[in-house]
Amino acid sequence: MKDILTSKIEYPRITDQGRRLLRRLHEDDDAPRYNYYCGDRLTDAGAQTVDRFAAGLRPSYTDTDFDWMPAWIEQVSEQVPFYRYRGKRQNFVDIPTCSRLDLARDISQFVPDNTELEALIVHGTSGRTARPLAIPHHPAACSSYLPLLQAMLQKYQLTLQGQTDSLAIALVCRQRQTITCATVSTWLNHSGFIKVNLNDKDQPTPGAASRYLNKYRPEIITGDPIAFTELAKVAADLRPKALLSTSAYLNPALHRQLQRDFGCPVINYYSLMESGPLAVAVDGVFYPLSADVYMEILDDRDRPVAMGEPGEITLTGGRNPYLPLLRYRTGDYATPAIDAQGERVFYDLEGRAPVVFCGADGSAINNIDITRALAAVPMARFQLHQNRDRSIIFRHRDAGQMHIRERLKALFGNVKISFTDLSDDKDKVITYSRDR
Amino acid sequence: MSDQKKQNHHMSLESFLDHLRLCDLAIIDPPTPHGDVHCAAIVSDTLYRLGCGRLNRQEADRVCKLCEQSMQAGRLIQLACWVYHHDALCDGRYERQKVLDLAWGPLAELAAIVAVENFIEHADRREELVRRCLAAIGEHPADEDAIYAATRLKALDSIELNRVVRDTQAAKKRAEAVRRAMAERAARAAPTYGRE
Repeated sequence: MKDILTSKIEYPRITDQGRRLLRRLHEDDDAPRYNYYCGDRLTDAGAQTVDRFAAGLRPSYTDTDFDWMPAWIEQVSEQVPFYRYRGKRQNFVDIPTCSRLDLARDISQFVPDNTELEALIVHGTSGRTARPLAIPHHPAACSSYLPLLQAMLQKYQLTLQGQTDSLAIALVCRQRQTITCATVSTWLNHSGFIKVNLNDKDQPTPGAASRYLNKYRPEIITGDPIAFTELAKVAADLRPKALLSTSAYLNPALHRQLQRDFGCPVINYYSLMESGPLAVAVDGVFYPLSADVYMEILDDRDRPVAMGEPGEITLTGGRNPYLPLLRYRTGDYATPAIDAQGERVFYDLEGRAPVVFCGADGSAINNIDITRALAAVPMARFQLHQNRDRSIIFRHRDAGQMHIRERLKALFGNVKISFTDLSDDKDKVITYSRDR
Repeated sequence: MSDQKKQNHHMSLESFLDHLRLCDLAIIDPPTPHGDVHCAAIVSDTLYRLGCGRLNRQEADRVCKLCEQSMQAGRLIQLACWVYHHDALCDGRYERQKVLDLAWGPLAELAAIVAVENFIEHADRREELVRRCLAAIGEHPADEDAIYAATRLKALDSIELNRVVRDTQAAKKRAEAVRRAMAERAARAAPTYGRE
């Protein structure tokens, strides 16, 4: 803890006030048992990058906002090994798409030749739809999430100010195990950010999570539907400006229920670790948050689908200098449309559905916990299906059954587990499913 | 044999390859100041045989300077002169600048990456040198068209091959550096303020 407070690497720009807040967040009697220490690693140059990015954000975007694309594509086609080996194409629509499988094969091939590696950090994806992946990231790209959160709130006539000496954002999770931390954002007025796991064993005493959150009263709360459902149980008297939900399908009934519970808007947004936040939903329609990522919706032959037809969300651009994306298939599906103001939007986002499984004793098991339990088993991908009788069918290739069985037994208890082959012919598989 | 047939026979690839394979090894003796061979004199004589006049003072100085900087470049230029001494090219009235450009450019670069002896001993390198010399003056072997000759030369191009190898090594080194950085920094992160 002492090290993190004085670390110029973790916090190149932290102030004494920021340090005081950080100490309070950590040393509070009700503070969760934080298991990770990190700062925003934002240098002055990085902060300027975020400032410039924030200044470029607008309420809506037209096609001319994407005029940067030809020059950018030319540049990445020369400097990024993966795109260079594929060769250049005359027309944008002829550029072959890539996917998470390409990243998984060798992500080093996506890092531009001329990018300095000094600032590189590494983030892991949760692997809701595939095996977890390590993504090279940049502190400025991480802090760029903040102006994007502000842009989402603006859509709802709300603001995120981030006051010095107070907690701006709480990210809540409901997982068996996850990284938790308390930090300060030097870009957002040295305000606080915490990531907490609403799990009894992460709390020092019963009821501590509720007391802690109520004491620091975060301006906004981010998380996923599973975590918000739990939050409603442990701290329903919290009144943040908004809940911002991503990472999983937000059921409309639950959406309404959460809005009633917390007395604030529940804002659904679309975000990927590979790209950062991309779009925010208003009445079920997703609006682009920035013009540095171009979103296409493609059919399975890499062609844009017609308006009103569903297809796969595909990205070009990005603010992570270590991972420029050129026609990157996200594995998520949506239907494109043009709104009344002429802006490209999409709806019917069919993202990664959260799946709660049932253990032999009837306990709930989050799919993220399964992903984590299986992280040490080398598998390109797998599918897990739970039958109505709680038995499990596990489809996979090239992995040790014994290790998988042991780990699943540890999670599910004494349920029947059968193994079958997962064919390689599908690019995308639904990793988790269960009988209803 | 008709004159045309004689000409075709002389311009055949085999004829040039034999001419090079059976060269007098004294032609690749070190040039001055590293040895006793006067490279500029050989180049001047070659130009004359090709119907291009002789080296002027400036050009001769440039050849000498090149030899001074790189003995191997001088030796390879001398060997190229041997190729140009093939009977089929005598009095061809070729463009002198094209011959000189070959000496200033590709031959100096080639000499830095391939041992000069290889252009005599190894079949592919022998063919590469012959084709480079012919291509430089706008010629190609009999029974080939210009496109085939250019394609074949491209396939034999040691400079290009060397560039590809160099680029591949650089790419491999860079990928290793990225992987190493990622492995070293696996525990380094910064908050992203929301779930993904």
